[in-house]
Amino acid sequence: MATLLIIIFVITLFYAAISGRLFALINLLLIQGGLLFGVALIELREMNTVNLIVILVETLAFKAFVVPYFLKRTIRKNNIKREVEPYISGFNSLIIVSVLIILSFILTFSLKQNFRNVIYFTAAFSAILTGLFLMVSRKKIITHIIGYVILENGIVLLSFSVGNEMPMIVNAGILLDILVSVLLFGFFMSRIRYISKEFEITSLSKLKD
Amino acid sequence: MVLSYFIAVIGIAAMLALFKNRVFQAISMTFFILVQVGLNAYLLLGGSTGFRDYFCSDSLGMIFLSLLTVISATTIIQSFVYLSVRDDTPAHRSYYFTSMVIFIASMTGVFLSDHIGVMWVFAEATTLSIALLIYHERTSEAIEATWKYIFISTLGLSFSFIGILLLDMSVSGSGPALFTFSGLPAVLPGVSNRMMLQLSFILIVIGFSVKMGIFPLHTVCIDAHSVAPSPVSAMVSTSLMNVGFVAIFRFFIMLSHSAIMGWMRHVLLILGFLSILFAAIYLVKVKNFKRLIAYSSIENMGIVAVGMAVGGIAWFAAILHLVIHTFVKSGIFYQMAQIIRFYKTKKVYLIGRYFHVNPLGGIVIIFAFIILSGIPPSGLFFTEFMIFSSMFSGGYAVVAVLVMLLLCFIIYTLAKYFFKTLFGPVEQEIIENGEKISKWESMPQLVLLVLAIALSIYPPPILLDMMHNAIAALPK
Repeated sequence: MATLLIIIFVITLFYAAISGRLFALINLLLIQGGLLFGVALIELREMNTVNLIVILVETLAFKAFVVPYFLKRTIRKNNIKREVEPYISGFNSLIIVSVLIILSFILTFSLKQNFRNVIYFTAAFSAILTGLFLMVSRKKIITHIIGYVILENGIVLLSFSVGNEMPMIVNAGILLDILVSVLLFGFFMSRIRYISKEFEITSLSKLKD
Repeated sequence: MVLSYFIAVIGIAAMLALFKNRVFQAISMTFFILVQVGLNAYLLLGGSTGFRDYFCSDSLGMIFLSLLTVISATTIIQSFVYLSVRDDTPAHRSYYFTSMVIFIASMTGVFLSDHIGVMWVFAEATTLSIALLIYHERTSEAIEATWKYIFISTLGLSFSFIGILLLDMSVSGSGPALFTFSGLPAVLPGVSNRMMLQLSFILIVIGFSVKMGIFPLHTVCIDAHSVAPSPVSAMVSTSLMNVGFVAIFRFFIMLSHSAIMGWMRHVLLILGFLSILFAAIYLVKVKNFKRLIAYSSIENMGIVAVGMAVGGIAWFAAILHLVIHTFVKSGIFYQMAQIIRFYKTKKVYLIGRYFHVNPLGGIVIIFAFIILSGIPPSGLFFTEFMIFSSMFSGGYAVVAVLVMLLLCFIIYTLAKYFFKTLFGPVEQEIIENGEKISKWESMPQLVLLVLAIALSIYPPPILLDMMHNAIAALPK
């Protein structure tokens, strides 16, 4: 069952590559958050209230609702044009993401893990690489944030396959850090409108030697 | 003790955010310095941190925590000087101080962490809390530098986190152990999956290279230096780089008990060498005084990384190098704040005859240059000497010669611009229109430079003991 959800998760990455609209990309984050919640629920070894609350907050509340809502609000408030504007066309992006997923397979197999970990590792590395690819191949700064969130989803998936988990307090700290970082990204992105109407990464090229 | 420190800091930060009165800000910042000194003194005298599995006060952490305490006191003094000549709104000032308090506390957290996850949380907190400090002047350069810094730094630390997860996975099969820097060395020799450890180490180093300012992610660090207020640049260039060093060095010490020791040394040697090379190349093109000094920091961190790689006496030298570098670099940045105020520019070709304008400030710059370029009695001479001699004896003679050549080149460039600043020609008009600056404002940097020279000539036995303890866990 978890494997099925992970396969759907990887399929969402393909969709991220071809999607041409910002809101579609953000809805994708919502779906990914839901999928991660499903995987976490199935993988949960001992069902107690504290674990359940942490996972609910981490995946469903935070990944699927807070972040997408916040990103949509930022887009509306700043009147950002709702197209993705890639440097690389959708079809080529699709090919590149497929290559990245194959690379993740190769990387995972060379790490010599057991079968269960292979599935998690491949999906996680695919998401991490796809997130990075979205950052470098799209013009808009908001797509960089979306790429970062996809990368973080990959890291969450990777952390599910860790044997001895971090203590609760550390997990809470990590979660808080990521939440604050996304909020700060949104804040500073809306400041960028003072130097450029375009919200494109090329407007940030003053500092150099 | 650590818990009460953090509660006190959160209290101070909350008060600073709520009450925006100038007198109140001065009182709270004084109180904060007292809290910081109190924690440091308590731990130095052998007090326990509390929370045994999460925090520890080992020698490595304590050396850099003490440095941080000294630098934060002088930085806060210089921050008041910096803010007194600007007409910021009370809210704007309160953002500055609140962020500063949280920033210093997060760095303290990194130095005292024993649990790897806790250290990551604090390292990420330094990134988040420095954002508003870099953005303080609110120019278009400031927003660009802030955006690049927080985005690349957060991304880099995400890589580190992947590395930490991989490390966790590779040790989980070899017996129960706490996921701490002191607990893992017991199980690491049993880990057979070399590739997992290698991938984990390289991801961790790439992530923390933002903080330490070495190749590959050093560029955002330079941008942050060049636009941040000068007191903040002083912190970025010294304490924050020490944070990166401590993080990487802790992983290095821990993994030195595993099968990848030789490989790690090569990675650090390559990264360190590339840092020095990039610093030397970019120094030719630099026109902005703060970027010039930022590249000098990158070069020094490169030397430290090379020292970490070659080992032996060089480990000792690397730590001493950082200690002296911390004092000198922060001194230069404080003096830089005065220079920028006087000439109202950061461009090197519009600055000149500074010795004529402000003899005391000129002496600071000359002293700083002597120490920075490693002319005896500068401590950096001894540390670089130790690093080079262990490179020759360790079989890295070719690299050592190349690094020396690059260093000559870097010192030439630094000398060119430093002496241009002091004695070079400049339009009379600029000198006449300059702002009068009190001599007392140069006191903190003079104290720091005297400290740097004193430590070079006679490092106190307690410091030497702590440095020996810090590297005791490494293989001989």
